[in-house]
Amino acid sequence: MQRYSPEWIERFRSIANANPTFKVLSRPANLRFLLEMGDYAYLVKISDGQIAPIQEASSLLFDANWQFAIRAPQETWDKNTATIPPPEFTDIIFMSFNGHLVLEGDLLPLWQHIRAMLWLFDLMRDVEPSIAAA
Amino acid sequence: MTQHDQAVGRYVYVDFQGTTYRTYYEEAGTGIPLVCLHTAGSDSRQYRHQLNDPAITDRFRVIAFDMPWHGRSYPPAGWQNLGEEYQLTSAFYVGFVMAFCEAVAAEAPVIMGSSMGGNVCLPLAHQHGEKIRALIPLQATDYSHGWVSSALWDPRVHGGEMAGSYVMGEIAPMSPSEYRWEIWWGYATSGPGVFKGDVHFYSNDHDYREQLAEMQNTPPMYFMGGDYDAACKPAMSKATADQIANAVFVEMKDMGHFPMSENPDLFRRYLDPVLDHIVSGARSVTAFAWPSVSSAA
Repeated sequence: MQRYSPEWIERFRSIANANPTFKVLSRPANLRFLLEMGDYAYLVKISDGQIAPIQEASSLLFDANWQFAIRAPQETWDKNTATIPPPEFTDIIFMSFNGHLVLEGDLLPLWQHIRAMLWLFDLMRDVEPSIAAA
Repeated sequence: MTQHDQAVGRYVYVDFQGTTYRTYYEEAGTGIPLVCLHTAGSDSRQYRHQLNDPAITDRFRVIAFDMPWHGRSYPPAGWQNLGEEYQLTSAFYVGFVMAFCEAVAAEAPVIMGSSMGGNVCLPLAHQHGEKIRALIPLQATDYSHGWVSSALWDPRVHGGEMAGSYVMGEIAPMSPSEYRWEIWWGYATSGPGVFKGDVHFYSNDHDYREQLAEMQNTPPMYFMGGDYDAACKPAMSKATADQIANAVFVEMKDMGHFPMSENPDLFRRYLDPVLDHIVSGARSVTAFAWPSVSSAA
């Protein structure tokens, strides 16, 4: 399975939706954001403590009206999703501060639900172990 | 059987600039005073491990206090009418630390602080060096611009959730989960706007680049910087220490922005040689070097 491919992102979604803490933290959230991972881009929608089926943003969408975008090249995500990420690649905040990742758009909802978002991205580290175990 | 920490907490009244500050502190041990300064937007709970470590408290009187506005130290009466945002300044910080030391009779103390508590070690050493035995600046530098964010105090964002989450990426990922989330909790329980006001000191008001050249006659200064600190990077601390005559620097592997809190066992391997050196009565760091430290458990 190619890293960050639609299959990979679906695996990520299922891990997040099965995570009780993510469910609790994201229950008050209503988020729509663009997630760019190298050549892949996705529209991620979170509401009621769940991630809805994730669409590829490159396909023809009826509504791509995301609140904010999180964009980074594949190398950034490779480092961030390593079991032990290297310095500067620990989370989206510090990757942004250090110029490895771009946050754009209306960031208010991101900051309002920042613990849920950091928790969510931490769960990305579980995707490849879960693939290996399957 | 009932178990207690050995640290005891109490309040001291600190008179400073015409105001009396009822100031909370925790203390344990006897010997050379070791006054510990918390980071921006947090409080003295960050030093719970050192306050309860007999290897330290057998030789040092460890004292950790909450700055006004932090932890159990209230803001000064009338704070609601301040008419402007809380902002910590270098002048207030330096003066208050010295006033606190006097109030608790911490004579010729060792001062250890992290982040903003590390940065303030520079003016403390420069302006009050004759009253200080040694300084241990952690995650400290002469200038760290660009960290004030309006998102740190905005009623549309939960300040505690924001502050706690803002700093998580500065903690080394291999630090124990329990301690990582204690740091989060410490930040999450600070008062509205306090973190932002502290970052004003950390990032704007503290600028010691011009004064470093004057720091040729300070007490010993033992700088330490964690490699996972992506805010105050080891190179920044080293560059500062290199310009101070009586200073040394070590980079701590597998450590982030909160050495005393996030991985106390690993931190002690770097701290112990420093404390030994201080106890020996050394007044110069010329002959001091850290032994090789392994981060393996």
